[in-house]
Amino acid sequence: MSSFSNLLVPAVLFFALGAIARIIKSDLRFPPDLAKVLSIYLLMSIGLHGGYELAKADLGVAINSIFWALVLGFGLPILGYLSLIITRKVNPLDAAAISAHYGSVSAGTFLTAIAFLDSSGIQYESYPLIMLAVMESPAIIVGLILAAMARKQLAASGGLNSNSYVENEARSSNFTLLLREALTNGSVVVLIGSMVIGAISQPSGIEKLKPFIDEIFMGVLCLFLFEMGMEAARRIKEFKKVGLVLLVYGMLMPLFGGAIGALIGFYVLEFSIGGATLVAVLGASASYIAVPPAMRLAIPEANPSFYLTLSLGITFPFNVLLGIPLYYWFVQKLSGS
Amino acid sequence: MAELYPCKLVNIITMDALQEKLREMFRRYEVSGYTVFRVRGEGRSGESAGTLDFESNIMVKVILPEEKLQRLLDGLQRQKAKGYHMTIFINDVQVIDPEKYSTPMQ
Repeated sequence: MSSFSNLLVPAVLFFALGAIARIIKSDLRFPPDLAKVLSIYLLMSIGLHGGYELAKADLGVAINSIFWALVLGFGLPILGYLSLIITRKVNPLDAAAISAHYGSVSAGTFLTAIAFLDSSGIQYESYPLIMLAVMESPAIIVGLILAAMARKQLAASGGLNSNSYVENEARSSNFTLLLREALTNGSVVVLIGSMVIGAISQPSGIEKLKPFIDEIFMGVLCLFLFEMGMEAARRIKEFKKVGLVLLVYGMLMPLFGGAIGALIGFYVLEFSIGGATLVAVLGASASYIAVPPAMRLAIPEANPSFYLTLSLGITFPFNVLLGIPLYYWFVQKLSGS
Repeated sequence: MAELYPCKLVNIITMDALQEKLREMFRRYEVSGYTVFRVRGEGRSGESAGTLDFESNIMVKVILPEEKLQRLLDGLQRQKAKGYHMTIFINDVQVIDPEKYSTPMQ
């Protein structure tokens, strides 16, 4: 199968259909909350499935995967922040909010990558799934720290008025509260909880759940990506506001993160081509479910148009349509096959 | 015939993520209760379609006696100063049981 046959995976085609429906201004609307229900289902299924597999896995490799997931989760937003500051196109608070999105992960992109690997018959390890769960939160914490530093810097240079500086100082006392929110985020709870249930359940019990977690999984993923295609296309009208430099950033940052992820997955964790592709996807993807509400709450000064347009309007479609086969191709080159 | 007493109705349209913060504020200012609606709309900061958590908006309604109004509005102003988007408007309303709106919620 050629690398670029990713475009012919039904889930990806439904993503494109959703985008087209929005562009031609179709009256198609999904019921409210459907995306939320579908994403809970997807995380629950992948969690149960992964937990079941991980129960049979090697503890040493699992711990090593968690360590490298933390390195990626804490390291990528710092690199993302520095590269944004260099562009001089956004203020430090916007840069902190945007880079938090790039350090965190998109379960939708990860699942699309699984659909790509499955449809190509490529094997992959289940360790990247623990990495997905681990990588949801660290970037939020880094985003909060970067924002706190940016506020101090802006206040010192007179960029923030004294009143809002006092307000923001008061908010930094809420840091532990925000930290708790980052770690108890809904998707983290569903994913880790389902993994634990999958790991400790009787195999016969999991067997009975197979129709729920296996057979209808790809269909639900199609529905989810169908709606997300519409959501991504809704952001197109914001492109002008965001500007060319940031739009390019939305495509370069996943390539950069993807390359780092691929190198860690292939050389450090020594995963198969499929497993290393999944680590690359984790490095490349930007969150659009867990991080945006956290940033809206923690960094209200940052402009949501920037981070939402970048993560949902640019990086998500880029990864789904081009990134995943590109990362697969890159890992294949690393392996020399 | 039931007697009518004047009260103030405060309407706040804001993002879903702020609900917990507002709740804490209502307790602090001894508000008697509140009602939340999920709403959709479009404004200066873009469209809020309600599909995903980050763009779900709520409308919170609070009835309170006039003497408690200013304190609550000051608190809301402080949140706005932090950068949170909020649309706030106040109606004059009439109620039949004024003591209900003077008792803080549990």
